[in-house]
Amino acid sequence: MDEMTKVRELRSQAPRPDAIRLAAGRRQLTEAAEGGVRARRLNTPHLRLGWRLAAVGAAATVTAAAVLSAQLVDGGEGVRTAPVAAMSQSYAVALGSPAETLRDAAATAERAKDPRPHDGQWVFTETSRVNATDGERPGLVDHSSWSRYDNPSMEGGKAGDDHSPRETYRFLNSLPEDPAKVRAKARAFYPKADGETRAQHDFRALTLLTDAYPAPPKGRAAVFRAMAAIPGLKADSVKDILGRDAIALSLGDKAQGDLRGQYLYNPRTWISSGSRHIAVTDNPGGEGGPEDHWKAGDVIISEAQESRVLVDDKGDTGR
Amino acid sequence: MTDPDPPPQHIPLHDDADVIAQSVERPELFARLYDRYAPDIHRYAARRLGDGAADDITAETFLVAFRCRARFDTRRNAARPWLYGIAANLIGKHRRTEVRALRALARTGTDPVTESWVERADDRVAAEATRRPLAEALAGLSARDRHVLLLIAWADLSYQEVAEALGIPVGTVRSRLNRARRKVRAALGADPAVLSDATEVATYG
Repeated sequence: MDEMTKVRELRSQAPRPDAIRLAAGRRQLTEAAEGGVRARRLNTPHLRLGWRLAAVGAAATVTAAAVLSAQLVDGGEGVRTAPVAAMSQSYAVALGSPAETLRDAAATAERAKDPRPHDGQWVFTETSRVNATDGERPGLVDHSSWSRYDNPSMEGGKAGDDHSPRETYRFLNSLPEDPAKVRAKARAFYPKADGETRAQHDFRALTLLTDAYPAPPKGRAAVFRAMAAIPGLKADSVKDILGRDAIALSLGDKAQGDLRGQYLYNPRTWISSGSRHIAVTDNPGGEGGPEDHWKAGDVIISEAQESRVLVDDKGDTGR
Repeated sequence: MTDPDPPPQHIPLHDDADVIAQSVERPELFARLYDRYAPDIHRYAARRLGDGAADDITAETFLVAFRCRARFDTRRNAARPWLYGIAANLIGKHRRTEVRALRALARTGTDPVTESWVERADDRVAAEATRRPLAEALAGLSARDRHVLLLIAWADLSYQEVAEALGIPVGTVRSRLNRARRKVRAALGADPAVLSDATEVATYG
């Protein structure tokens, strides 16, 4: 028996890890990828329906997430047992003047309560997501996670474009009132990506900031006001994957990639409620599986945020 | 949709290079590489440092790969060597821990790395004569030689793949492997001069 055989035998009983063992790493990767989606996708759905929806604020209908039975892996992901169409055609109802809508958003955001976060806390997030290109899990996937409010490894530029919740909260707290200055600061906080126009960069940076949690009310309001001046901004009324009403903000520019992004908000509170990405062109998929086939207008990735709350310990869900 | 009939576009996603190229614009696709290779990377890292460290190294390997995916040389089809190269680099940061565990195995016959998956009783049964000198020999290798030896023996990479993984010429892979094998062979009490490269070249070259 030669020495290579001996080397090969050493620790050869090492087990192959199962999916549960690998779930945390996969989650970290998909979270980074979701940040990347936001970093690169600056597109808008084409909207055909033109009627104005009155009294948006009264239109909030919250569908209890519990309607769909869920199987959750503790603190991780679970695939819903209820059948969900992997891809569904998008629909959107254009709202009136986006600037007016955003002024309402700013006024609503300003009236919210400051969560007054402190070091040592965690942000608990629960989302449901459908990613039709995920061949292994094409249905609705529940996901819960905790992220540390004060995470020094995500501060001071150590994590590139990513910032800890604390750094983002402080940034929002420091924003001036002047919308142009807010946009300039936001662009510096989330540096320009390759090929981005000014409007695309503004839109990406500001929608990322509206998605920040915890956030001081004044800072959020300043962000919505700054957003109102972005050329080509669209506001639409849509339903998310959980059947909830949402206002979708998007850019009217030509799509940069093959998907267009919409960022969703609760119409009553203007709290970020998710996002969705819609195919711009057909993808026949060739010999690929069903996950490689889609038509223009299909919702390819859709995420609904179910809850987000500050808790004192990792593992707490605030309930 | 109102686009003027764009030509149908096929985005092939079976090849690693395609997945990586597409993932530059559609980052969520990158998870496919995780599903393909994370089990192998994890098992390799677990063999070198234990399964607790393997969790972190696997997660970090894919995060690093994701962040520098735009620099992946898409002329290469498979991402496996590239990912092992990133993992090797991360494992290299735990060089002292790795050597300490190998020395502990050499000294006591008990392997701290395998403790989480090997029952004590089995451990004793498996503790045959060659394991301890082998561990001592591995501990005594330079980090560079150990990477080459273990990427070939434990990750089943070819010489060419090891060269890609570590960013070194194939000739260097060969010479590092020869040096490592000679030392291991000597530690196992065989004549280090009787080292035929032919078997390994035929099987893995």
